[in-house]
Amino acid sequence: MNATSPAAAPISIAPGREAPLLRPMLVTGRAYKHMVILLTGVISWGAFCFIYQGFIGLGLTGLRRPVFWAFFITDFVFWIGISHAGTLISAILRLSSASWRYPVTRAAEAITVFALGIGGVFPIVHLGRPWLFFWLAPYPNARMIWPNFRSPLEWDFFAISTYLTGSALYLFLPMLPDLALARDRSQGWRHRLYRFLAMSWQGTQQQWHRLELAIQLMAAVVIAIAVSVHTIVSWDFSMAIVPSWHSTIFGPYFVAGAIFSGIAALILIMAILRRVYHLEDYLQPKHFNNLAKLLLTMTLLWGYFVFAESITTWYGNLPAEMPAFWSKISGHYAPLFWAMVLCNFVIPFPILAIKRLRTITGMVIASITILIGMWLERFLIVVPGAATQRFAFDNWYGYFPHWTEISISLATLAAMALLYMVFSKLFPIISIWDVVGQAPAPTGEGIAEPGPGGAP
Amino acid sequence: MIEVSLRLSWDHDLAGVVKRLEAGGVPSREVNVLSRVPLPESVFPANPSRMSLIGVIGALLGFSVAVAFLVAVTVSYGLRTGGMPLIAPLPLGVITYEMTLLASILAMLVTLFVRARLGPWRRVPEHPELDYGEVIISVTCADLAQAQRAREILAGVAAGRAA
Amino acid sequence: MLIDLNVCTGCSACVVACRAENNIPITGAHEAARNGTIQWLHIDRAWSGGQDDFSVESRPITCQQCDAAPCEPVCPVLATYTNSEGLCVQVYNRCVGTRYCALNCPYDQRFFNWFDYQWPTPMEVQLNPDVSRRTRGVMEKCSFCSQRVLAAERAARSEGRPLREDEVQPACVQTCPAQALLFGDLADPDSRIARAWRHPRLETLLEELGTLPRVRYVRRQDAPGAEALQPGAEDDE
Ligand code: SF4
Ligand code: SF4
Repeated sequence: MNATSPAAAPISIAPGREAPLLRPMLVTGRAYKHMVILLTGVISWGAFCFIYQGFIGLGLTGLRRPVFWAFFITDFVFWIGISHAGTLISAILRLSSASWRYPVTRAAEAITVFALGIGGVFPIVHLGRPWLFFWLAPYPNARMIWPNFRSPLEWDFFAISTYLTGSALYLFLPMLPDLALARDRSQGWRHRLYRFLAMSWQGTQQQWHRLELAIQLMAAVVIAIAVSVHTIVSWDFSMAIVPSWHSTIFGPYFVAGAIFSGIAALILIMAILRRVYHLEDYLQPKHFNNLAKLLLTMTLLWGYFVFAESITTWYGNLPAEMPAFWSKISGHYAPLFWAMVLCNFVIPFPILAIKRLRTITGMVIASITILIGMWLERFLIVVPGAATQRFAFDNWYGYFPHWTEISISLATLAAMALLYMVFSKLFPIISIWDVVGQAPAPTGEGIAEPGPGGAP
Repeated sequence: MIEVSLRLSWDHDLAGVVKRLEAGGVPSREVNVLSRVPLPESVFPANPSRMSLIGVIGALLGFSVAVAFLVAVTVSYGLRTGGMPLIAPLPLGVITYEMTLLASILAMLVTLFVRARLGPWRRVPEHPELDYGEVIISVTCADLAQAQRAREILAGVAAGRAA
Repeated sequence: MLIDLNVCTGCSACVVACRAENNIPITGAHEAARNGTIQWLHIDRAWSGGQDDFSVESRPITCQQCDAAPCEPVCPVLATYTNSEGLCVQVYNRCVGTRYCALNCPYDQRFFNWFDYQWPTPMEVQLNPDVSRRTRGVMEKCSFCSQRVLAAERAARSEGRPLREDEVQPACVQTCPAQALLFGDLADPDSRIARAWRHPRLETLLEELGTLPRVRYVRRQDAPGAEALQPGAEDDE
């Protein structure tokens, strides 16, 4: 089948057990190509908007004093949150040796790397002078002034670059054996690519021992990094003096929200992969079911955090905090707030809790509403705090996004999809050695023949 | 470098084969057992590794470098902000934490690459024929004589298997 | 800086002077309608009383030059810091425009250059050459006319004498017809401002935040302090 397809890449695979998992890399349908063209179009449009905004100035956006942060920062927090899907989940599953994780980990780790890359773009997009973003990097300027290491934004820089390094390695290292497999089964440019990426992996027992040990140890470190990253992102807000941002609960609240949206994204992407690449045998209902249980836990945890955050604000009744609070509960932002509660709790909770509704379709619906709800949640953290009257000064300003902001945000969504599509064409999206290797070994097939000998 | 290799089933007495090679005068570090998935620990027990120790050392190193770097850099051009002290342990601690963990990861990565002999610059023989449930005994020989010896031993193993 | 609310008439001459001195861009009516204006100094009016005892209090508000400025430590590139004279300075060239400082200023006294603003034709000839024009994407705020402070210091140094107390006046102080504003060096214990700094009816804005502002107000004799701290809903922007 793969040989006859005109789009088949030059890989020849023996019809071994790994064939179904390598097939997505080989067979490229028309729909895929159309999708790539569409997504590239959306991304180019977003890039155009960004450049346009760079020439005109940020006044193009709906931002005005005192709403200095809005859409882009919401997107930033949202994407960094999504990035907690992968590494954190797969690291936890690995450390707790949950054996159902095998087909899930690679997909999750890829989400992390891409979402992190995309999230990391937003602080640049939102800069007043984005062409100077590298001034945040730790190097001295011409007057030997270094960046301000006491600023939460500088912490972000370090946290995100550390997390990106860690999660990229965490995606890459477990992929080495699969890359070696792809190297052995391919010709042409793919062979050269995989030969480089496989880092001369042979599969000696020494390599296996070291690799498994390294993955295990890195899992522990990556969890520590991932928790710190979203805590630090939340500190962008809670370190500020802005009422309703200045909250001690934000660290764990953001981390919980991040895992929450991360699992939702993972379920959604797994459902798409299963469908598009016919991976029904590997991504089984039991995997979805386990993830749905995790998601249910996070739904409850999220509900608890929102409740705790709201009731302390309400009961404390600090004059500075109440305008933002009431604008969410019953004021200008109330429709968004209650939509968020609907999306994050009222709809997904029954779907995930009732066994009969916990089908894959149900989970996909729940995941989509949760993703929308979590975006709204981030928006409702960022904007009302900045937009409503703070302290004694009456400076209320109703924020409304401009189309460039919406375009750039949609473009990053498209970028995520495109990156994922390209990734799944180049790399096995399911960890082959984990999945196929777990199946019982066939016996009695031992072909014993003297090796062909070596060429000098 | 000459590679001599033999493809065997997974359930073969692999440790025995390696022993026979060693007895035949092939140094054990030239013998590699290649597989697509890790063999059970019982076949070839893992030799002890100091990777976790190196990770901790890397972390300590990262921590000290971070502290020294941050203090030196902040003092070198002291700009006071917000009436706060120049060297503020907690805010600088956040970056110290990240640098500590980063150094730990990188230390482990380097260990892995060195100990597992990885790296894109290395050229290794490829074995497309290797399948699941199989291993390849690969012997790297320095000269033709050694290769001949290894080939004979492996042929003996193969014959024994066929019998 | 000391601002006497008893004397201020709300004439807004200081606002105009500040605009002229510091090359503050003119953003136009459209931007003004959506809070896009830039006003380093503006008059906050508090309306009180009913039909018969109607009263309005005008309060010029500018950057409070906080000693413990919350706007400063959050800047990732150190574009704003406390200089040797205790002023909160803004370095336009180093600013990348994260706008974090503006969010963290409890007085909302930081202004962002949303666009590259242009001056209508005859007005660009009166731009002050001592003050840089800001490009799009940087933050700006009241500097206590640091260009004037520097010029006076230079003059005093070249003549080899200490700076005299009345030598430096920011544009707003110089312009105020009612002489409601007083500016000086607090480090000099004999200066007028140092003596006035101990006035019994002084108040600072949002004192409870501990930002230690260097702008203080002399409370109105006829207005209870609690009310004066709650400016009304009207704004003259
Ligand atoms: S008033 Fe605002 S801008 Fe001025 S120093 Fe204080 S915090 Fe900074
Ligand atoms: S110029 Fe003087 S009187 Fe007029 S508004 Fe300003 S401070 Fe008040």
